[in-house]
Amino acid sequence: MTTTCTITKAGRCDTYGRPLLVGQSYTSSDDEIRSLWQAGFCSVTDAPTIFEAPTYPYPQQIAAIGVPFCILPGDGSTTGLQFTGSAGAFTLSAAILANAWNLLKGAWCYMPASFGGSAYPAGWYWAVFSGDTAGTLYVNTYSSRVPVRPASPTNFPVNLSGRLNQTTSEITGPSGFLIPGGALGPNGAIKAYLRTLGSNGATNKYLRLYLDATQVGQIGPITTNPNAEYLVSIRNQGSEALQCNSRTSYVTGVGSVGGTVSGAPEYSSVDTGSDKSFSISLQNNTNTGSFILLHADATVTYGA
Amino acid sequence: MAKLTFTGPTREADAEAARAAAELAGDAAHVHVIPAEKVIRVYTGADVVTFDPRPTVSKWQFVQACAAAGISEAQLDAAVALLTPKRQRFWRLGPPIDRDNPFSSRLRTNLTPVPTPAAWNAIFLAAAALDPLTV
Repeated sequence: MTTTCTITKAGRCDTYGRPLLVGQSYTSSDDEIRSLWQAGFCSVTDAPTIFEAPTYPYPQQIAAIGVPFCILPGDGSTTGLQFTGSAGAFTLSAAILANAWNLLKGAWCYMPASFGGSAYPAGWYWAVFSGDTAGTLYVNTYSSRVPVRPASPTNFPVNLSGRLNQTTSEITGPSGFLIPGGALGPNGAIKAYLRTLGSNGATNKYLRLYLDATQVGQIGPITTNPNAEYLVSIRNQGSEALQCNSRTSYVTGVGSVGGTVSGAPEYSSVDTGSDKSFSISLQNNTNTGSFILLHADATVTYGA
Repeated sequence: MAKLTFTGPTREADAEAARAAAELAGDAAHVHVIPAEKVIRVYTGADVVTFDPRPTVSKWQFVQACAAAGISEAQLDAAVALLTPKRQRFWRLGPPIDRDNPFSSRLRTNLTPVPTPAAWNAIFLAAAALDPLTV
C-alpha cells in the first residue's frame, strides 16, 4: 500500500537519493511516508488516522460458534422427542447416533411455538443431554450474536408434556455476526469451517449461509453420514459486489466438483463494501430426523 | 409466486396458511423462520430457491442406484462395452462417477432404453443417498 504526502521541510531524500523539496507531493510506501511524517518532514491528509486505519493482512474472525444448534426430531405422534412431565425433562425414541449425546452436553435446540403443551414461543432453548435418549430443556433462549452456555440454566416453571411436533422449515440459527463494510476488499474471501451431526437417514438436511438476506452458501441435502465437516467459501471477484461461492457441498466436506454451474448460491452480488450480517440456518425436511450444527468458524481474509 | 414476510404474534399461523395455500395451488413453497428478528418468510412458486445438485458418487453407489431404478448390471456392462478403451478402463478401475463427466453422459446414451436426463439425475441423487461405507 502507498500513501501520498506533501513535503513541509527539506532535508530528506527519496529512495533514489534525490532531495525532497518543500511543497512537493510525494507518494511512497506507507512505512516511508509514516517515517517522514513522524519526523516532521511532511504533512499527510487525515493523519494520524490514515496510519492507524485497520488493515486486514491476516484472516479476521467473524464468528466462532462453539455451542451446538440442534433441530431435534419429533413427529408429534410416535417418533422423536417426548416431554416426560417433569419440568423440561425429555426422552428421545432413539439415539440421534450412538454416543452422540457426548457432543450435546449443552446445546441450543429449536422448539416450535407451544411446545410441550406450554404457551412458550418458538425459539432456540437451552438443553443438556444426559444420555443418548434423555435430556433436559431449560427456559434460557438464544437470540443472536455469540452463543454462550448459560452459567446457571433455569428450569421450566411448568411441567412440559407430550410429543414434540417439530417444524420442517428452515430456521436461522447463529446470526447477527457483523462483517464490517470493506473487510473483504475487492478480492477477499469469507471461509466457513463447519461441523455437523444428525440422524443417519434419508432425510434431507441443509445448512445455508447468509449475508443479510442473501444466501451465499449451501451444504446439502445431507442424508446419510451427517457426522461430518465442511469448508466452503464466498470470494469477491475483483469487485466488492460480485462473488464466486463454493459449489453446493455434500458429505464430505468442501464445495463439490461439477461440470455445470448450477445457479445461486454459486454466485452472488452482495455489496460487501457496506456492513453485512452473517448468519447460518439449519433445515431438516422430515421431522422424524435431527440435524445439528456442532461448530462453525467463519473468517474474512482481506484482498486489496 | 411471492416472497411474503410475516411478523407479529400470529406469524406462525399466517406463514403456515400461506405455505398450505401455495402447495394447494400446486406451487412449491419454502418457509424460513428467523427467530432473532421475529420474522417468518415464505417463498412460493418461482421465488423458491431451487438447486440442481449433481453429486459425485462411488461406483458401488451408482450401480446400486441403477439396479434400484431398474437398470441391471448386464445393461450397464453392455453400455460400457460401447465406450472407448480409455473409458472402459476408467469404469473397470472403480472411479468416483460425476453426473456431468462426459463418461456418464455417454454411458447414459449407450443404455437401452436411454434414461431421460431427469431420470439420470434422479439415479445420481439416489446413489448419493446410499451410505458408501456401510452395506
